[in-house]
Amino acid sequence: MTPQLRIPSTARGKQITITVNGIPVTAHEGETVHAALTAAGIYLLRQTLSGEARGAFCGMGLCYECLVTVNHIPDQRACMTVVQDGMKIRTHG
Amino acid sequence: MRSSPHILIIGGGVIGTSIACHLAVQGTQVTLVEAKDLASGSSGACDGLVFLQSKKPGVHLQMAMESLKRFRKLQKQLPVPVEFIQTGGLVTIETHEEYRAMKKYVQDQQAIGLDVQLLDRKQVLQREPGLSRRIIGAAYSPLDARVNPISLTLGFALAARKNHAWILTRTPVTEILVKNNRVTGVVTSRGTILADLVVNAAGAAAGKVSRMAGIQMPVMPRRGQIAVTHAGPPVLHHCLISAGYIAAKYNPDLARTAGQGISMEQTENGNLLLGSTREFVGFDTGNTLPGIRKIITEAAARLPALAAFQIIRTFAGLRPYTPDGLPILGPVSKLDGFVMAAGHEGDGIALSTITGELMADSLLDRKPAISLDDFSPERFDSLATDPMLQTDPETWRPAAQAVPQGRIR
Amino acid sequence: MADPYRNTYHVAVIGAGIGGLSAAHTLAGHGFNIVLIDENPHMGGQFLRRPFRPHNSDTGGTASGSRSRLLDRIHQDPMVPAGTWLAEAVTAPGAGVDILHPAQVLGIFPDRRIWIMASPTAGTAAGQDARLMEIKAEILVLATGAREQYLPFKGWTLPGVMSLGAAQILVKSHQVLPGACTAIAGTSPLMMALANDLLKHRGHVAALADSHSMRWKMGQLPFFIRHFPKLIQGACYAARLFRHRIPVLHGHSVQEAQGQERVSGAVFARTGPDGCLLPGTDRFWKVDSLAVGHGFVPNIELPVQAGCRVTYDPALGGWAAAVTVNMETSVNGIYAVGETTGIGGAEQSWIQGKITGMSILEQLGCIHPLQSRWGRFVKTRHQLYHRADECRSYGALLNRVCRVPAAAYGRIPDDTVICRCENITMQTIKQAVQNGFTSWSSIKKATRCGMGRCQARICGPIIQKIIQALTGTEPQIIGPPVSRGPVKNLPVRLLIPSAGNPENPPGQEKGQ
Ligand SMILES: Cc1cc2nc3c(=O)[nH]c(=O)nc-3n(C[C@H](O)[C@H](O)[C@H](O)COP(=O)(O)OP(=O)(O)OC[C@H]3O[C@@H](n4cnc5c(N)ncnc54)[C@H](O)[C@@H]3O)c2cc1C
Ligand SMILES: Cc1cc2nc3c(=O)[nH]c(=O)nc-3n(C[C@H](O)[C@H](O)[C@H](O)COP(=O)(O)OP(=O)(O)OC[C@H]3O[C@@H](n4cnc5c(N)ncnc54)[C@H](O)[C@@H]3O)c2cc1C
Ligand code: FES
Repeated sequence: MTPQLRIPSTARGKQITITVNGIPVTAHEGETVHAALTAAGIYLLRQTLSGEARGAFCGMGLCYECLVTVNHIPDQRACMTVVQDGMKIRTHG
Repeated sequence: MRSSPHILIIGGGVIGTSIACHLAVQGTQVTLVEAKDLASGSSGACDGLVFLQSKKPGVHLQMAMESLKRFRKLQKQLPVPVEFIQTGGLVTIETHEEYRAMKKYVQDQQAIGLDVQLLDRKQVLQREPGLSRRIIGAAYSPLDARVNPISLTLGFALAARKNHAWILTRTPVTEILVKNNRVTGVVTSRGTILADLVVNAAGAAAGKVSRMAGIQMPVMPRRGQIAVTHAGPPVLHHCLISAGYIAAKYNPDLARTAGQGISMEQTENGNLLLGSTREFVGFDTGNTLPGIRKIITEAAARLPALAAFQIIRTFAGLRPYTPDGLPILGPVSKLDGFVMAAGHEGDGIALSTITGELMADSLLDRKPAISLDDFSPERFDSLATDPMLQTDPETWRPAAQAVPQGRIR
Repeated sequence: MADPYRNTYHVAVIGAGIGGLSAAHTLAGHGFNIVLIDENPHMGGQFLRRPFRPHNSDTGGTASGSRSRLLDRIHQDPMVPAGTWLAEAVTAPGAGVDILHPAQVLGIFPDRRIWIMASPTAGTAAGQDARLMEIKAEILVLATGAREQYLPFKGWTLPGVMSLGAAQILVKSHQVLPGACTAIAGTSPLMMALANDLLKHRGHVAALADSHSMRWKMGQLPFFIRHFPKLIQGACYAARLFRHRIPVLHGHSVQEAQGQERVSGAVFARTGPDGCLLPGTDRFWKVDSLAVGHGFVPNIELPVQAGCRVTYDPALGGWAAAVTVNMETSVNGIYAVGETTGIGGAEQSWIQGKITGMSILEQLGCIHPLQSRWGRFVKTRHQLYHRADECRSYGALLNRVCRVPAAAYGRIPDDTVICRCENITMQTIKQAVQNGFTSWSSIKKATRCGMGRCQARICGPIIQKIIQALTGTEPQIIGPPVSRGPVKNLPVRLLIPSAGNPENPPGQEKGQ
């Protein structure tokens, strides 16, 4: 069971649903994909060509460690992409 | 000449280091002086194609074939992996005019025994399924190869150093010392170095360096820009160039439309190198927006799988251009002890091994395996008034705009 | 397609952090066409991290107790409300500033042509509807801010190990905890700030490891007297940590992050005076996230790509865009503002933005020549110069406090990954250094470090410090990282003429 990482606070965008590897995941408007994945307990985002596990590192669009496929477009930075309702995310872990 | 001359090489590119390596393994006393870092010139900013097909039948192709033989054995001699792989090469054909021109070209090459054949679209797509259907055919040779040009240069340098060559980086040569019409050494930022023979392997700057000794050499910088993608899954298995350029040589009518040709290779890491432009812009190594754009669009038109890739960086190198497309190799008769080894334009990597060997032989007064007559520095003397051989002293571009069509790579 | 943006502007400001916002604000309202470009989905750069809801107040979230709320009020940075106001003023409909975001600037070419990748609706610069555009500006303001730097350790590539900034963004902008239990390590003021934010939102902080010893830190205190408010802020942070009984390990660094597909534990060990980790002092903490950072470096890739001169000064945080007092770079028509020109905090960016704005107004002929010599303009400007100097001195202090003992970089264990993109280890770097490759451009060629997707943004400063530690070579000799357009990754698909092009299908069918 993933711990509750969303801080129970009042201020949050409208709740929406995205899918991650086909599984529905709750997200909120205004969040980045990185935030939504973290809240869902998904840290492993991809593997290097040599098979090492990688996840978001800098969180601000510099390191390109957080690459995921967004709506069929490969290699998008999760930390620089804002979620949209129905967005399809694919990780490559 | 004395039995053990001290040879000083100016330039730490693939040519300078190859010569240093070939000399040092024979126990010669060698000093290599590089203005910046090893492979900081064209040799560190180029593709690594060792292409035979693009070389004009004749001495040029002969050099390339001999060089290839040496590449196969090279790895054993160098201390770092140079990633030499015979991937086979494709020269892609897009129009029927190109096809006709390439047919003749391939026949000429076959006539001298080069293993090359013409493929139709289906055969091409079988070999390289990622290519566009716009391609109507290709010339294919299993001999064409690629190498990592930076590792190659560093490998030559490290091997030379292991054999006691003295390699000085960040040491620009500022002056060439001449006494009684004989070179006696050079002045560098770190002081004077005396030498019996001075080899000018300064790449695109070889014209500039020659001028230090009062010699005119028609070597000019010709910029090439390259774009690199991230390391992705394999989508391209061969080295590839487009036929536009070669065809244009055989059919002058095509010259106007054919553009500058495109080259592509996927390195061992998975990065795709997309090249390149051919521009006379002096010593400017910048990248331009139209240049980058053109390379990427043209490459993507031929390899649609590129659409899933991202460009992560670009760079540009200065090819050492000469008016007849051949390098200038050998002693300068007007000045004793001054030796040229520059001007490989787009072929320096491919010709590096043989150049190092021939130059070492020539410097040590041995008979080289291939005669250097065709590469003689004197070959331009009789044409000294030809405007196409003149370099504009300010801009380092050809003084005449009518630049002859060179070869690709 | 109808383009909502013009393609020529009087002024283009790149970066919508405090620096860029402040410059744009000073320039707005004088009848010029101004565009403000940022790749971030959120405005405000690295400082203003407001939760999504527009009506929410600045720092976001409700505090847990009355005592805490008081603490929050005491230590709240006055720049937060100021910055919030600034962001609202600049983005207000009538402000006269075109906002282009999320839009990534890929490069700056002759005549101040800006090459941009923008995606109006996809929520990211490289999204579905991304396209490339070119904008030409008479004057350019580079406000690209700063990033963090790091001291690599074994396992720092594991998912769950992240920068302090990444954790901070999660908490402050998205109100998501970086993990159920977080350890914090490094040498950065952000450590305390992050711990504080986590605690405020009932997150668990396992421990905080500061590489500097308590003694060393106490020695720095007198220098902070001049920057009294920062001391108060620090004291408030420390009070909260103390109240929650969070272990603060001074003189400790991360030895290792453990885990398989995600970090499951952190090992901290005591740091010796020469930067080595003392054997037998290691302590294990069970955590599911680890936030690390060792101070800041200016983001100079865009200035470098544009041909602006950069200078090296540890007091500026490393390589920084060289500017005059009026914030002009060495390239005609290009200004640089904020942390691009040296680390100095949010106030510095604000002040410099104003100076930049005034200089540009003067250049564009908005200030009467007489006025620009005498009167209020001059007085204001001098006050700003003075204030900017003060901020610089704070910046220098900050950079000193963040600095890791140089030798630590020479003692990174051999099997540690240094260049994350290309998987280059310390051993490879060391070997190259031994072979004489001691400049940035040569070590890159010898090892491939810095050649990956991030283009040395992460490993560049680290490798510079490793070379420095191993050989004593000066950074000026090692040289700044090179940068060419595109400064960030450019999808090839954007250069393919049209999706309806019959040429595209073969590859794309296969691709997906
Ligand atoms: C875009 C591009 C793609 C290419 N692709 C290929 C390819 O696929 N296959 C191929 O075979 N070739 C290719 N080439 C060509 C190849 O790069 C060159 O022919 C080759 O690198 C030339 O090597 P060099 O040693 O003569 O010159 P350089 O590598 O330029 O070396 C000359 C050195 O001399 C130094 N120097 C200059 N002046 C002084 C001085 N005063 N004192 C001391 N040192 C000095 C310079 O700093 C430099 O390091 C390409 C070139 C470009 C630009
Ligand atoms: C991770 C991190 C956390 C920080 N946290 C705090 C804190 O809690 N408190 C504090 O006082 N200070 C903090 N700082 C310091 C803070 O950055 C400065 O005080 C100040 O905000 C800097 O403002 P700026 O405008 O100079 O740069 P930034 O705020 O960094 O803004 C730069 C902007 O430029 C944009 N940009 C950069 N390159 C491009 C490009 N090529 N194309 C388009 N846009 C681009 C970026 O997206 C960014 O939004 C932090 C710094 C960092 C790096
Ligand atoms: S986490 Fe670094 S780019 Fe997204």
